Amino acid sequence: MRFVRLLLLLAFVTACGDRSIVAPEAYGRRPCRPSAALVAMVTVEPFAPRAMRSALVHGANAMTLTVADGPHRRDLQDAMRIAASDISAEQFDSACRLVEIADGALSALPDSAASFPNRVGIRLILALTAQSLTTVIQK
Amino acid sequence: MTRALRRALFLLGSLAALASPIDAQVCRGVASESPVWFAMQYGRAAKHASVHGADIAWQLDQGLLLFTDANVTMYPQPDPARGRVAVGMGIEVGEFRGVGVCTTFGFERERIGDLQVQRIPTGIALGWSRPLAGVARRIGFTVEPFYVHGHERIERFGHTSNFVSGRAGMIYLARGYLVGLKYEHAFDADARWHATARDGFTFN
Repeated sequence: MRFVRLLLLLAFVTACGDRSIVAPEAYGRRPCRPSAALVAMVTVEPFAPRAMRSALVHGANAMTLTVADGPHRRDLQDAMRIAASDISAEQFDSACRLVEIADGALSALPDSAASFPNRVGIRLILALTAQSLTTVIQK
Repeated sequence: MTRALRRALFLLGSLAALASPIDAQVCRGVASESPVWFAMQYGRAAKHASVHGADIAWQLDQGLLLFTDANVTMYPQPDPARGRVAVGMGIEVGEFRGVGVCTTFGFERERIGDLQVQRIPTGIALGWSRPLAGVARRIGFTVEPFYVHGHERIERFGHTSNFVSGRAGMIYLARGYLVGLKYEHAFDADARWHATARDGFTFN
């Protein structure tokens, strides 16, 4: 019993910690829905999700080169690449979460004139992908 | 979470953990003459989901209750299902005016698509149970507010969350047969809830 009480005490110490990250909505414990703000950025006829794979990979590779190296750039690159592969595997819930994570990482990137055009372009790719995912994910 | 709330939770947890156990047996709404019970769960959850599962509880000596719980939440297609497994324990603190009080502590794992969640819920369970007229019939009610420390992970990305949740339930026992209702609500951005009916058996 003494051991159990000690475990309980340790659990409380652990539980009282706290930290936050970008895009907490991506980790919701319900099926993912693309953020309304991201979807509202575009008003074109939605693409099929598969049509966005090449754009996501291009965004992760070529378009991030002008962005300052750092953890948020790596997060952005990884999240876009994994989202592209999840769309290929028709794992749309995971793809939706990774698009949200990519958008959070993009927002956290440092602002610079050199990277501005590519950051806008990447956001457009993410918005189009989010819009395309709404066509296959139930509202 | 504010610093004051964290301190209050820490103090509450420390006091509960260090308190001497008393043989109060009703913190889960069941009498001590039924130390083991098994129940199936059927219910509904937020976002038009259905819930199916089962739980087992086993009361040991010295005021220690072990419980395990597993359920699957099915969302309308094409959303992925959510699977959940939990193990935990309740430590009886005492009995005040017929209300049994336990501290509860558990470990939960959830999976929804590629999202994996680990959680440590810690709470206070309050239970009240009384015999009814007739042979071996009893009704019990429980309320359990708890604090959840969770970690969510998808691929290499992770997130830590803390939120308050609570559940309330009713259990009716008659000759070893158990039926009950349970409602649980998480007070966070997800505002997740589920309501389940339970039926099962108790064993001596």
